[in-house]
Amino acid sequence: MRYILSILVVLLVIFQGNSQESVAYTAKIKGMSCNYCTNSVNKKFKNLPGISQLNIDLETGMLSFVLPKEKSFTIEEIEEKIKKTGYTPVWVKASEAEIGVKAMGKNMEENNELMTVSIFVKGNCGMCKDRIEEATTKVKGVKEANWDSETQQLKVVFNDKKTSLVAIEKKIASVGHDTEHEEAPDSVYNNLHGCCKYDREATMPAGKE
Amino acid sequence: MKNLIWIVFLMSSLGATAQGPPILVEKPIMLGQNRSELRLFYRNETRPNSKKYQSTNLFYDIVGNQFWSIGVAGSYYMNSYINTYDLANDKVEPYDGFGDMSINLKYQFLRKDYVGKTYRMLGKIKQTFPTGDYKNDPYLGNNEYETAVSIVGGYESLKYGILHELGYNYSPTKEGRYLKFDLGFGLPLLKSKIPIRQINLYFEYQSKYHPYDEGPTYFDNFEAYYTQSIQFAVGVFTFEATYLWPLYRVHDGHFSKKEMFQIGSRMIL
Repeated sequence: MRYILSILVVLLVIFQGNSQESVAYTAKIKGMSCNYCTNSVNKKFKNLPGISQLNIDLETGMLSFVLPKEKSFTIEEIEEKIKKTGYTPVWVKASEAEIGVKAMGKNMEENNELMTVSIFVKGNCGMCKDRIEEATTKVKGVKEANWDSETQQLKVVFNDKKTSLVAIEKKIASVGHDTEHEEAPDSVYNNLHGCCKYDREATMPAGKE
Repeated sequence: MKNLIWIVFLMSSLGATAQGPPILVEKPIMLGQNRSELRLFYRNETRPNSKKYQSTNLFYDIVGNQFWSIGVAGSYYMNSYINTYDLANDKVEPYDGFGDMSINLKYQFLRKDYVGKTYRMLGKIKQTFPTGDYKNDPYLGNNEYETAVSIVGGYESLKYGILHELGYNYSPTKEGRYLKFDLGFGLPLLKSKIPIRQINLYFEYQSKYHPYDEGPTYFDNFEAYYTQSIQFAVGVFTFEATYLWPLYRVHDGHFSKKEMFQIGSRMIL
């Protein structure tokens, strides 16, 4: 009986460790003009319980971070936190992400950093798919990328210690595809093949914007 | 001077981004909720009539949020003396003591934010208390309760910052009343990154006009200074060095300057 109980306890621990849901936040902030500005925002957010992958880009005004689902905040609460730092939130978005632990033991730490996230990427055809996936997998830390032309969703698996959603979206935008938070340069978009020229004015799917 | 302009031009063409807080001109950007700033610096200055001052100065923004802040400022003078060597081959004994203290209240009333740039304006009231020693010459204080009101504005982008302050200082004595106008230009030399490692140059202009002084012309009541500063920022700390030159100084008020050197640091808490 004692053995059965021990096995049950071990299985419970493993089960709990195998799946931990998180919420990935991204926000665009106006008014940050110096390192002290990003430092203020960084200080405000870095002490949130369970926060990981905190990233602030001064030039684009992009803020991104991940919180455990049970410690997550509403969009309005995040906007309020940004306002209290003295800057203006343009928008805040949240999407659920899943952190999966695939194995116990030696590889656990490495796998614990793998994150699977779906993001919206505009495109049309098979050429777009190749281009988007190739650009994504070129980002150091990305393990897997799969873009669906029907849903316009890119499912990306990456190591959150080596890269971030902001870096991935920037890379995709740099090859000509607009994402949820990054717009491709006009010069790159204009050089895309005719069949790849997606509708830039098209809105994102419901719930994404 | 020509070399300096070339150095600045070359450095600014290196793709500089983002600067730190200005040195002598007031900054228009508030620190945000639950943040404060502590600033400590040493100043060595020569004032008219061969008066030499060395002081340790403290600025502390005690409390505030994204709209307002309250701060205090104080100074302690060391080895202040009148250098009469040239006149009488003699030198009076230097002495130490506290200077005047002041309280600052700032309220930001305009904020125009854009991605990577912002323009902000704030109103500022500064109340000075006569805590400085006025019995011995050289005086360490002004011996009056003075009130200064000013409007501070600033445009800051990733490439440069322009700051200005226009204000009026009221004193019970006519000699202490003046209009002031300051202008600052900040230029970062390194690309911004986290953790912060930044070098900034500051070019600042400060001027005062004393309308009640009895000079025969407008210019006799006017004083203007240029300060050149370099600032090194690491994380929440900045280290600064400043040198001041008088541009125009006929007015010989107690706080007029013949030259000034300042080094200091500040910390964002």
